Amino acid sequence: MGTAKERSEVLQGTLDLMILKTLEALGPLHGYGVARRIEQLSEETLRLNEGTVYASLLRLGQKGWIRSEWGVSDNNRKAKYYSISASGRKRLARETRNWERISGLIGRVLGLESEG
Amino acid sequence: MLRVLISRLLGLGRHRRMDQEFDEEAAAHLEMLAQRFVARGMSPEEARGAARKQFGGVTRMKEDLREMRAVPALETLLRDARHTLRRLARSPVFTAATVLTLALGIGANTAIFSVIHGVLLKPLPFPGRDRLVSVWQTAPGVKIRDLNPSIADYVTYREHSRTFEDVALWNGFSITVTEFAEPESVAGMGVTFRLFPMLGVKPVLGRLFTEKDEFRGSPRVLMLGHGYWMRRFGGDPKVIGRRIMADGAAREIIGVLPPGFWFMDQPHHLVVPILYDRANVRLGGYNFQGVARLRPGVDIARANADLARMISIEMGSFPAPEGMSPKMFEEARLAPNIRPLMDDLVGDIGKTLWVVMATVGIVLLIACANIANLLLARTEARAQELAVRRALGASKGRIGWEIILESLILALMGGGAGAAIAAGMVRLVVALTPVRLPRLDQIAVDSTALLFTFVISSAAGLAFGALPVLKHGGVALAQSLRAGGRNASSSRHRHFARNMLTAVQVALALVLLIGSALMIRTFQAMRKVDPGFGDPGSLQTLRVSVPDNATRNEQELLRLHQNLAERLSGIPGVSQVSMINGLPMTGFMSQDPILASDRTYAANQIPPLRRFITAMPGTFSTLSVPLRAGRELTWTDVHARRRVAVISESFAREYWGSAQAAVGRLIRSTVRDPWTEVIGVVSDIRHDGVDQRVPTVVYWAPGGGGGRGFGSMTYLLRGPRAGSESY
Repeated sequence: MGTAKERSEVLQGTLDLMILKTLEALGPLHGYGVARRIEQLSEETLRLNEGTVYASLLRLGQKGWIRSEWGVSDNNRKAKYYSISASGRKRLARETRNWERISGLIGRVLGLESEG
Repeated sequence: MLRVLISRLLGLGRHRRMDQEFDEEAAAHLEMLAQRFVARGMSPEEARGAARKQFGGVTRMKEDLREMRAVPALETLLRDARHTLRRLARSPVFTAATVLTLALGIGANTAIFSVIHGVLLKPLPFPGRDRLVSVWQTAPGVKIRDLNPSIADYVTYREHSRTFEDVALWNGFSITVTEFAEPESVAGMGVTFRLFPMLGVKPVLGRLFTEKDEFRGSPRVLMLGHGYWMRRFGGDPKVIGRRIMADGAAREIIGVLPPGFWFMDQPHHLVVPILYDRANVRLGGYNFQGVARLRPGVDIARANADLARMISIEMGSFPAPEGMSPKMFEEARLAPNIRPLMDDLVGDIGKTLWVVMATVGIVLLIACANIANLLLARTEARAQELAVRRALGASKGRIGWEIILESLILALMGGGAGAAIAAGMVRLVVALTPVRLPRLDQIAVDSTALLFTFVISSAAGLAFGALPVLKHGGVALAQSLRAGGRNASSSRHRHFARNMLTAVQVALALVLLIGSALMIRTFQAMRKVDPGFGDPGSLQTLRVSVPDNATRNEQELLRLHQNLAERLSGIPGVSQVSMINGLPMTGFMSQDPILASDRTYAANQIPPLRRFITAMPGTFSTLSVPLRAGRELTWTDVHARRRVAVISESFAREYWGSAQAAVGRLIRSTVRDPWTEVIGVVSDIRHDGVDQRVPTVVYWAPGGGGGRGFGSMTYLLRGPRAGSESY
């Protein structure tokens, strides 16, 4: 149970970050739109149950990084639209820097190893 | 972290709605996915299946989301609380001292709050209570602040009001019942017929009064209070229609009031209609209390404006009583003075209660400062431990939360104990109240009071917990670690907060001390004020009401009083007996103008009002009121119907400069009355209480001059055994 949870936490973190980025880049979107965008970006490498997107959206909402409100979709259906909040943008900027630093570090470490 | 907790707490009551929202979102998502697959060439059937597969299990998802919305904090809270309790149990003296201090502070606050809630805050138990008002007028022309309504007022209000939905008069008096073996005097009230319907009172038996019952000449009727009905008639339902002798007349019982009927803080055992004759109503006779219910949406200001309009209608509609001119009523400058019924019920006691509340509030503040100091010391002792924990990664919030939790738990324990103390104190207050509290039966530690206890306990806990948190929440790591527990409290910074607390405590205590010292001084000063009569400890009083039909005329009534007085003075241990109709300090208040023969008065202006009291031979010597000049009344004066009176010293000084100069002067109340001779002057009596102004009084001989009814007199028995059972 513990390990499964840990693994999913890493995934969750990644997914959360992707969703934040998506909302920042594309503006307000409903869950379906978010799922399509991630599918498109990951070029089919990330296969996920699209329902998971909603867990991420709820989590981000609870942290105050995104907001949601009801609107009407393109095909005239009632849909909940999510958008990034100011604190969400700040968080995203910080996470992006972190990510770049860590991936840079890991890249260097792995590079060194291969050189050695 | 906190944010997530808050958003989860906010979501607590909204599970179902959020589930529904997710259902909608999921359905829309599935449909769009399916459409996409159809567009790629799948059959609708296949597309739906593929969509479901790609989305994952909706039910499973829903459960996950629900779990995310739930509050996991409760478990943590309980664990923290257990931990804190264990820590408190390890220092039992500190815990006991803190809880006890708080219990006393909170208990006093809860008790006083319960009294305030019962007396001041709880609404009246009548329908439309917010619109119930008492109808007064004010008469600045004759210096009367609150003028009672008269029958003429009542008739005018009934016939001309645009703002009253309903209006009624009532007054309270004692009724003598001579139906049973022993005559008894019963608390009664007179009402006009709309009072009970207005208050939503329904009879448990029989009927209420109708308008016809209040016309003079209608058959005499009365209603029984529930308690009196049970006590005197054993709750017999056949009393309706029965006649009983009350105030010297046979009256038919028409109904029984519901149990627990109190009005304006008095029980009423017998109720009779107020009688009047519509064709012969005159101005004046301000002897009643008025109650009205305003029409919905009407405020006091509009009702007052309407009343002002009605006053001018009334002046033109009714003749003045004999001996007075309508001009005199104009000179009184009558003006409306309507106020909420609740104000009349509560009266001045409200101010006193709030002062007491503020006082116990300060006591609680002192207790809090005290406990804050103790907690500060306690937290300082833990400074090193806290610093180590900070160094090991405990967050500021975490440590602050622990400290706050500890003080909250202490406060709630104190609050619990305080509520128990309050319950006891309230019972004591109700049993021993030194002042007359209105609505005494409403006072109890109820759910509102307990809520109040909870709120002030929590507030107190937060207040005295905040200080250590502010000081130690952000523990200066290095310093605390280096300084170690022992030296920690020696730094100057540490001392500052504790010195401040001590200063606050001393300042608050000083405020209380000065306040109570002033109150005691006032009280002592009031005790020193000479009430005007001597040695109340050896004076026994009893009220005797002679029914109208017991004697044929005034002479007989006066002889009856004389006989009764002589027989009472024959009781061993009784040295002197007399009577008076308005005992000092009982709120007796009857006043009218007085004219003196050697003074001139502007035409159509009402001369100053004086208190009118009926005295008897020996009244002043029995009350130990010194005679300043002249003599007291004698039985000869009384039986010869001499027009004589005794006046108070301040009245004598005001008109004639000295007590001696007043003897022999002539006075009367209206220009139609014959003159009455002043035969004596007595020293002033503080009839309205030692903290009130001395009234100027005319003590009339019964039946002579301005003497009022004397069928009902208060007997005064002077003797060493007053107040004991031996009489």
